[in-house]
Amino acid sequence: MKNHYNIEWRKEKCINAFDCGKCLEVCPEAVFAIYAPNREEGIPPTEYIISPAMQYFCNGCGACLDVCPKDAIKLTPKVKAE
Amino acid sequence: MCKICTMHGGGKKWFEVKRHVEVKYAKEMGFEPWEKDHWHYVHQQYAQLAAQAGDAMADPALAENIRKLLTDMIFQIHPLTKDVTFTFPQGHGAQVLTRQELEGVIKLSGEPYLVECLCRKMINNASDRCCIPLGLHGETAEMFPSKNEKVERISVDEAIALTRQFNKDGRVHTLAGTPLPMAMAVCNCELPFCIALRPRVDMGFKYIIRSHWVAKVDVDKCSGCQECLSRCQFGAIQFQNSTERAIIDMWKCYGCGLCAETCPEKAIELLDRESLPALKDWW
Repeated sequence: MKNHYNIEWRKEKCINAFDCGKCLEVCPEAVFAIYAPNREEGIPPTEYIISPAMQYFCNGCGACLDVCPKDAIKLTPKVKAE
Repeated sequence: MCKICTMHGGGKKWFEVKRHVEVKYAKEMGFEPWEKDHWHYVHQQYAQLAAQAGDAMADPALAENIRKLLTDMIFQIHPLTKDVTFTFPQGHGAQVLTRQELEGVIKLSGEPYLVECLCRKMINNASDRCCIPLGLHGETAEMFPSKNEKVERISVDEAIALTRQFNKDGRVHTLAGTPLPMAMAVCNCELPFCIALRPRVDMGFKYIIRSHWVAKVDVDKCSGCQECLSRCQFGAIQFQNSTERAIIDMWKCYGCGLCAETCPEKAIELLDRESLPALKDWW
């Protein structure tokens, strides 16, 4: 397993995750996942969250950073103990 | 016999048993999908579980335990009654099927629907109408993320034509069961944008088990055209330069049959997994 990068999605910077979704489209490793955290049965959800669910497959290509209009994603390399 | 067939098949393959794809039977048993937006629920669970599992999966020993725990949860025998509440991923498993087997399932069910693939919407923000829920699940499938998406009822012939098209496009067919003996949906998956195949192939979670078949190349017939190479999503086929033939790693093969369908020389045949002593228990 890879697990070389930490991805942070900053909620306050990202506007309208559901309609934008550009980071989802460009990621070659399918790292991100969008979902509604507060779900109620029978009611269409209003708020969506982008979660770096598969972040241990991130290869650090930076495509999501380039494409995000609001600079909402932060990518930091993990420091591994030797 | 695969795990699911042993538990639920009664001598047949589990997807060949008529009551497993029938709405009537499911209703008689008092079975109802978890809730109206259970698709949505599954995706929420997936995202949260995957996010939490991140660091744990980096530790090999811990990862092995998590895998075992989840596999046990999925393949336990589940009582089909609505009095018992159960949560994802309990009983939510799937199997890779060949196109021919899949057509049999669709014909047996007789009630295919067509919806947008939820995985691709969630992971790739793509609108891709490739998901074919069957029977009860088609009736109640409320979409994630439910905006303008409509559940469309299609005829059996249309559904079969669609699966042929998906097969041509190189999609792997899987049949999901929720809970397991009840056939839920025919998925036409593409790695890595599949929330079931991805954890299976890349992380070893056995949500999806291999099909009843294993592909094998007949080296005398193979002309070395390399048509099959790009069709395999599991990296099981390699091209040998020295002999100019394709070779299949049968341990990696999931038995989806895509390579066999495309081969112009008909050089790839699907062997019954049961007939191979080494691969008999390799699901």
